[in-house]
Amino acid sequence: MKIRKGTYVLVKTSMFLLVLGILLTSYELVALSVFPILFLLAPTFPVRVKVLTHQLEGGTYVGDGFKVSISMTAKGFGVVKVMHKIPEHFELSEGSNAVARFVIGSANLKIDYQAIPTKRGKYLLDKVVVQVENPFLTGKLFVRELEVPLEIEVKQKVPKLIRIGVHRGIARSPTPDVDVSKIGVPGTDFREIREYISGDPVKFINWKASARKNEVMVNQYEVEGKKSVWIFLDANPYMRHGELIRNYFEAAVEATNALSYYFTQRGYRVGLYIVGHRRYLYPDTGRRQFRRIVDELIKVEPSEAYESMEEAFENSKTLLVTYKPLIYFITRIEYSKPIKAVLKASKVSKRGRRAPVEVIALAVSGGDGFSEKAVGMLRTSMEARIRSAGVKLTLWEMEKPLSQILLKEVLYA
Amino acid sequence: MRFKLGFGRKEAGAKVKTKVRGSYLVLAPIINLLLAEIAGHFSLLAFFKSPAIVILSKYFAIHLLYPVILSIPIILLILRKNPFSFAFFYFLILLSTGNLLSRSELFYASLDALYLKYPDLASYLNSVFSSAKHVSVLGVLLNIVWLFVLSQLVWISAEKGREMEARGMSSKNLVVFQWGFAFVSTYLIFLLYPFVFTFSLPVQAPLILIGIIGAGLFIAAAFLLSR
Repeated sequence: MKIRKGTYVLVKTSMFLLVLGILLTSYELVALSVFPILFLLAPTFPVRVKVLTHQLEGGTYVGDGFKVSISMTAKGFGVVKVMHKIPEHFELSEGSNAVARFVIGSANLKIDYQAIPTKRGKYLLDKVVVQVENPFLTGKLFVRELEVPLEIEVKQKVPKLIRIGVHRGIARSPTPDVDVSKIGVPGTDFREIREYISGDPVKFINWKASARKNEVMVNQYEVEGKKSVWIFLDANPYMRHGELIRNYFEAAVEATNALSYYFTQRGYRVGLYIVGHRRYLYPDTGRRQFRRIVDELIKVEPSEAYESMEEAFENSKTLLVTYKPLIYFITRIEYSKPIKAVLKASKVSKRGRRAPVEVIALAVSGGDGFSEKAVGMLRTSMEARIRSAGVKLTLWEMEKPLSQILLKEVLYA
Repeated sequence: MRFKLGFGRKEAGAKVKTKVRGSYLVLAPIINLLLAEIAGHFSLLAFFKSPAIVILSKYFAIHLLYPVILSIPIILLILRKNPFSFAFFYFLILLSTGNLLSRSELFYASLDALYLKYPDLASYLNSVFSSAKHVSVLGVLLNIVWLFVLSQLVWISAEKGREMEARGMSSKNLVVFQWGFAFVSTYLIFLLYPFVFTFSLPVQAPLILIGIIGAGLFIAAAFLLSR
């Protein structure tokens, strides 16, 4: 048990007088030794604190300030400290989230402050901690919590991507603008003749071929529409490295947000797999899908368990085979070593066509230490292996804006 | 800036309000200096009344003790320490114990021991101290203890106030109210204290009953302190 300073001082004074009194057989000193102790007997009177009003304004996005105002009333006697608990990665910009008052009878307490959220997430700001102690600051400290129904959802600002680079190399075009989709509305481009399956429209029946084969045959057309995009977001424990606010994982989430927004805005189906959590979202289009992705990204944190990229690929293989999407791996290549997963992903397409795969490798520039150099060497080696396999790799140094990096890829392509 | 329990973190670029507003940070050392000086004065009064002065005045310039003792709190203040520190309090109490020696069994026992080797010195000391047996210094000692306890309460609340403000907690007039309360309550106890300790029952109670009451009070005090 931690002894409070006030208690310690009074006990120490009392002990000194008592010991000296006993040594000198002095009644006066022994009698005086009781004087400081009397203050320790002062009880902590109960103080009732009640929340009257509460208000929260703003703070929708990371970096946007929000304002909190809580009015309370306290009745009783003693020193009351009230604090509105806020998460670790919220920065106070104005005012204070805690007040202290000497309450005699009743008093009004008001917490008024402005703070800036620095990390995405859904936060409950529903706790007000109340501490009550006696005016001598000795004795027991009463701590309890009051409930305030306040919560805030902080979204990450989506960096606007002007354009995403065109793939040059073995894979001819991973950008879905020019691709055809496996599923969607049939177009006018003829693909093949196949057997009739229940549900096929009658207008597609090829009567001549049916007569020739003596069974119902239908024309198969290339479907119109946009191709799908599949994003592997690496949430393995090593992504946690870096500062609390800006680390590899936060950068990966930012990239996922940006890519999802870019593609859903253009009508593509976007799917997501969170590596480490073994969770995925089915590919879909539109604003609603973007909202689903954002909701998922608000909650997600780096996982405790490790999942390799290969395992992630195997877990989502069925969907990849169905949709044949453009695949993005957003990871730290020096740790995840995604070469096998990347090669497997590029072989998802049939007929010898390579599926478009792109790796966004996260890195931090600078650092002259031995460890930084070692990690840099590992990354360079992995980069070379991925590139030599014909897969597009974009190295993103997290200090630079993502849109700039992706646009650079377009300009230098 | 933030309160200890809080999780809020000051924005890196923001103007950090480390400027502590409370004028109590200036007042607290001054109050403690005054209390220390008054306590020092009381202590010297007790010292000059003690029989030890008879012996010491033969060898030392005792009148110089006054400015020396009164300058200690000022030096402590200049060194940015609590002017009424524990060490100073111990010193003042020891300075006032001259009169207590004249009624101390331990002192007379040591004089007896001294008598075996230095009978003249022991007899001289005995004659000096035994003449002051009737002098009571309870009032002076009570003054010193009261002033010290008050100074400690003032100092602790000022430190706590500074800590709270440094963490960004708004604590309007909290420290001043605490001082007021500390002064009133310590003063009340100070006034009542002599009456409590000179209180005598008009009826003679058997010793066994007084013993039981004493043990009961001790247990009650132990229980209250353990809360």
